[in-house]
Amino acid sequence: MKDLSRFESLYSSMRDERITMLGVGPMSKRIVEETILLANQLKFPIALIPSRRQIECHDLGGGYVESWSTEEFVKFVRDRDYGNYVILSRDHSGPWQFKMFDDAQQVISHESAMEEAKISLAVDIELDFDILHLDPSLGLNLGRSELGVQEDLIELYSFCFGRRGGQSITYEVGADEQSMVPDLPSIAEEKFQKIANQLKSQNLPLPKFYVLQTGTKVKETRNIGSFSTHIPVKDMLSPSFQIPEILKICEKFGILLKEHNADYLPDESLRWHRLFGIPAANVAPEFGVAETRSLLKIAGETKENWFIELFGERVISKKRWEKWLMPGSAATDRDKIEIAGHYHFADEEIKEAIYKLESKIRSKSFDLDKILRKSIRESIDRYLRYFGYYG
Amino acid sequence: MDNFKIDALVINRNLKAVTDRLIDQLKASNFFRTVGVVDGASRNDEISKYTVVRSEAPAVQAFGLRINRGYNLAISWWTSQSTPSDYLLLLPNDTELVEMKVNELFDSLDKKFPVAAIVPLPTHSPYKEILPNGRIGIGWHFNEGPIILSKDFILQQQKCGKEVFDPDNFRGYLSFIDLALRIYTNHFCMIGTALISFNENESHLQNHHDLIVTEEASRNADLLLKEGRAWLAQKYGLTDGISLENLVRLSFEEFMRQNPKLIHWKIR
Repeated sequence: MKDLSRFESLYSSMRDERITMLGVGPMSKRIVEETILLANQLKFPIALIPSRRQIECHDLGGGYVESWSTEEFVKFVRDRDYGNYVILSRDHSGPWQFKMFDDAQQVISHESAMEEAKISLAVDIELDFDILHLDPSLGLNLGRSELGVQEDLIELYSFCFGRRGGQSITYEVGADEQSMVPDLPSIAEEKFQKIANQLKSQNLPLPKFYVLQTGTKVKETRNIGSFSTHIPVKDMLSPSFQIPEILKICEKFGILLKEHNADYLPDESLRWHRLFGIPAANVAPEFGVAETRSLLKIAGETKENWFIELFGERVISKKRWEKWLMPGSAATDRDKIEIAGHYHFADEEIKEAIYKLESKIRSKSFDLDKILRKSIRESIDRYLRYFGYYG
Repeated sequence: MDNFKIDALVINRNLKAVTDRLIDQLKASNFFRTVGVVDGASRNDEISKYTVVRSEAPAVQAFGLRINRGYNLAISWWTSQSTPSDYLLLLPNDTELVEMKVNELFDSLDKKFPVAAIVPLPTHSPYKEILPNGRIGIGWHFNEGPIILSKDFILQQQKCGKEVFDPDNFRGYLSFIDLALRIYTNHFCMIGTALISFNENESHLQNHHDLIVTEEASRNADLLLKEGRAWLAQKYGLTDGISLENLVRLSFEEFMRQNPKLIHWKIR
């Protein structure tokens, strides 16, 4: 049984100091390792936030990060987290969040998708995840009504809470898609009130975290939301108006705002997280992109162009970059490789190629592992610095 | 209410036809006692027949008035008149009015609010979704555009020896935020309204920026930020706009604490 008070007290000490808790997407094994090291060095919690596509339980086939199953991932983290500073926080768990289509390319039925989500959540609970983010919002793209999505949320919440160990989990809800603009405060309040009423009617407690839009939206390798702009934008309200209002709503309900998609925000916007008092923020693809860029850079500098060609061909052909492109994007092939390279770090052929690259450049006095870790650490460090983890 | 509680002045630079169309629309509404044009060194054939005051200073000929200096010139002319109305509507000439419920606006205001400024909202403003009763609400964060100022606030500022808009903020970076700070710290308030609503016709800036003697849109945006930040640093010693916005928000919150009866009118 997990020591819930440890998480609560760690987290409350962060709140006392108005530190924004960072959630790191486990985009690669190195990113996971560096996150564990940083949390233990700083002695402050950092959350690892695997989505179901990244890390999934053994029975459902595992995820794309290091081909890890949830069971392997949790063991890997807990074995190395000697100070117990890493928060395991499942991100976006819900129907269709692992697979949308079956082998015949048909959309998986609602019933099956919910069943799979429950299998996944049951394993998360069994493995003592600290936080579960329940997000059935993909249903909105598949013809589910807003009410239907809310019902899915309550069903999943009730399922988790009713399981052994489920009552000591911290829950996060929020069924919104990322948006360029923050939620309008009074409308966000109405939405949460509905969720709160439904939870109450089922004798379920309020979640600890609520995902609301703060004006962050990731496309390509940029944040195009209003939180990253420094001039007034037509038809957009300023985050400095909306975020404090949203925080007041959360305070009224006794819940905490969780920001998603904080990747690539400029330093000034990061600084404002702590000053506004945003309790927690998630960053994912930026760290994977940092590792990929570093990998491509060192391969280029050491004239190992065979690696860039092989890696590039794999990334381009698999098209995992597609969903990140802006409409009418001018992204080059190099941009696409940087955007989606991390999806392929665990592909057998790419793994072998990285080992080969590592060994070839070692003879030229380059330590690939050290170089990649440095770039990851710098990328994560920017957030930790502005979120208040240092001094 | 008295229909002639308000006057209107439009800022023009070299867009006579556009300006005259807007003036004709304002006159036809019968809501305004005085309607006129403030001209920023237009060439002779682009001066509106409704012009009431012009600036031909060399700097204005070279760079134009832009919003802050244009509005200040309008205010200066307006307060020098023998009987200015209670309110003054200021508009850039690229404004296209969509809604003009002036009577309803002043009826809604009644005596409840110590009004310094009323900001007509653009047609697609997200504020419209959260405006109390969909009509008016108290706020502090509005984008630059048309604005109605109360005589009381203008005179209060003039007593302090201040122009209402900072002439050193040439491109109007966070100009209404800067204004909101003085409004709330002087115990006035700022209203947003959907009862008067407009669109900004950006095609003038896109297609006639050489005639208006301004930069093309993207260069204009770059300079707004670059020069705006320099102005912000010099005036307040702040390095980013959100710092100023936060300062204004806190002043606004304090105003709301001191005026709890107005809480239902708060935009949120």
